Amino acid sequence: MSADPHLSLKGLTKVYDGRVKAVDRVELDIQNGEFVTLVGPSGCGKSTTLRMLAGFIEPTSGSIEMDGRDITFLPPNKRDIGMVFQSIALFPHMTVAENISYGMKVADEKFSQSEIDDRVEEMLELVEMPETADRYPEQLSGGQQQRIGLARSLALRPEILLLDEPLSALDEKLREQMQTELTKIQQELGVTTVFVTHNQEEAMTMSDRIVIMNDGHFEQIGTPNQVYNDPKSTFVADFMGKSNLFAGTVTETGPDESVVTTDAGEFIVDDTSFRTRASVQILIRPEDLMMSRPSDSQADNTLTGTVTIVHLLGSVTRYYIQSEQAGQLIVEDQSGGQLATEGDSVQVFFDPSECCVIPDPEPPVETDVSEPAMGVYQSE
Amino acid sequence: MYPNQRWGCTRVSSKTTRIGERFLDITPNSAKDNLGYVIIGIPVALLVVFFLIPTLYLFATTFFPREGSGYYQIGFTLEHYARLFDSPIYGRYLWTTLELAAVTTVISVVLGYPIAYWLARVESPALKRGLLLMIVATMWITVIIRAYAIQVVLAGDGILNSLLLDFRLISEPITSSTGYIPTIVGMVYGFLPFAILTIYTSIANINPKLEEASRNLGASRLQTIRWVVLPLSKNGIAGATALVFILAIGSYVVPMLLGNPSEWTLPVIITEQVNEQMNVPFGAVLSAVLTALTIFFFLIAVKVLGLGSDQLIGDTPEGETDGQ
Ligand SMILES: Nc1ncnc2c1ncn2[C@@H]1O[C@H](COP(=O)(O)OP(=O)(O)OP(=O)(O)O)[C@@H](O)[C@H]1O
Ligand SMILES: [Mg+2]
Repeated sequence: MSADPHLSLKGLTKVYDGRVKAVDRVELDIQNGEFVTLVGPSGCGKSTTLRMLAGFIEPTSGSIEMDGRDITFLPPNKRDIGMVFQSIALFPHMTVAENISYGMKVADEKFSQSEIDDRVEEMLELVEMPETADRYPEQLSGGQQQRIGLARSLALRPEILLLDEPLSALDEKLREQMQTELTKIQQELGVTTVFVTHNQEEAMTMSDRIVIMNDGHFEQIGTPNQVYNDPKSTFVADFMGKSNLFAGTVTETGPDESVVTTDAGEFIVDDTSFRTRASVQILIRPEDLMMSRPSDSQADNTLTGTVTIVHLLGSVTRYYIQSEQAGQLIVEDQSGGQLATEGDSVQVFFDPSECCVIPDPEPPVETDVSEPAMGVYQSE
Repeated sequence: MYPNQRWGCTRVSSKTTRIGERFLDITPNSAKDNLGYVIIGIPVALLVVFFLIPTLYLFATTFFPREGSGYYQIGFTLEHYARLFDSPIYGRYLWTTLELAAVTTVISVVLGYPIAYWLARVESPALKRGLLLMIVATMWITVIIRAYAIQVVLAGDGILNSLLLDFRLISEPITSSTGYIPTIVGMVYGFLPFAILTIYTSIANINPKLEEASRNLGASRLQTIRWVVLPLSKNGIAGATALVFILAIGSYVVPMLLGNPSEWTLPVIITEQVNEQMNVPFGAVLSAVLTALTIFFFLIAVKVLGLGSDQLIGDTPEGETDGQ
């Protein structure tokens, strides 16, 4: 790509106790100032990856480079990488100011008291919590504690900031507020950030790039738009949002369009990169699926069904539709009005350019997990 | 800060009634009304019969005159107390008792802390259980056997000296089977498990993420222990210090078996007064002194640890933040 990466993960692998392959040969280059989010289901190895970056656990194999320098086995206190913990982990016996200045106090480099005071004040202003310097962590709310945690990790102006689900302990409203604030602070300081969450919405709103992790490996790396609208696997498609999926086979290919035959009928898609007879899945996001009253005209890419559930979610209305051909479908409409009520017969259709074709079945992932896999893809 | 309020009698008695009331709440039935008082009453009665009355009787004995035959009769005299203050030798025994206890305490806590820290941070649960069991197991062996074992090791021709002599690290034995060093070794051996377990509990309650946070902020391992672990386990250290010191003041078997007369502590002297000198009242005086001393240090411990307040020993309330 363009510049040399700020942080590189090269074939990074962690096997716990010689059996649990928590992280499996992951590759990632992160640019200076970039906000990268690791997202994935519980136990997929996000924390393990982050903890290797912070130096709390040694990789089984592979390496980590920072500005081209190998830091794989550098102890955590020699890394210039700040970290914010999910459990916040403020020092309970120290005031807010002492927490923030802890890094300066233990540093080899000596800071004068006025430097320390200035930095504490600056950090408190950054997280918009002046006047709290003399309080103890237990005298702060959860959200305030998390801000101080952030301030503490930024006080030494680290090159890289790691955040392991820092917002998951907060309630919905506070979390959203902290999301915006965190993004703002990150941009203001331009610090390279690796953020971990299992909340796809959080990942979508905050990141420059998203890494979707599954079972120890990276399924896909891309911008929020790419991973949402152009997922490379059904796992990514499912994980990044609600989806309507149709499994089928490519039966015709043309210069502009292909035809995919599924159990639900034939669909025309604008993706021509697949050979005929290839097994694929068609993904249509709920907001790309349109709905109308039933009509006799048989247009392309149309299904019929009955509305079973209507969810009013404020700005969008979500319809669950039971279709004879395709099972349950989800349609989301942002026009504001209510297009149908429960029990209505409707017609559902989509534009060939709005769907995404995903290869299926997913090529077996080349892992030699010593734990026997339950599924079909068992190697050997 | 206000010690008198902490262990004030009013507080204790009000707690007792509250427990009684609670039982009443659960069982409004009048036949069961008294159950709560019975449950509390049994241990209270046992304490009164087997602890309070003997203690008071012991105190009374300190004033009883001695008979020519060596026994004592009921009466009143202050001669035993006069003897205590007249003769400087008992001050020395008192000092020996305190010094041995203090040295034992310092060594036990200093040695115990790193062991407790390591134990608290061992990752494998199986290994941790094994180590804890080993530490507790040392307490199963009777102290007399342990004392003889120490003699075998430290004697002039014992294992330690023979080894050091064989390797030509020393030219003549540096320890003997009895004396100051064997006494200290014996006492530390006896009380170290108490120190380790007390400190272990308090370190185990510290969220390990705090140590990671410290390391992440640039602190070395030692700095992390100095600025994070040590302050957060100070209650454990104070608890271990108090516990070991109070136990050590009452040491009897170890100083008697491993000490020379210069290492004899008050409990040894008390036994000697009662069993050999047949001077029960004076033995009682020394016992009263020992009891007073123990109560005094116990009260200090209570104050330092805030035991009288609603807070418990250990560092749970402030050390644990990993609530999520
Ligand atoms: N210390 C450990 N010893 C053994 N196995 C571990 C250890 N830590 C994590 N694992 C295992 O490694 C895998 C990945 O764990 P990790 O904590 O990285 O997941 P995660 O993606 O952060 O999950 P979550 O979203 O629940 O935090 C899991 O299967 C977990 O059980
Ligand atoms: Mg995690």
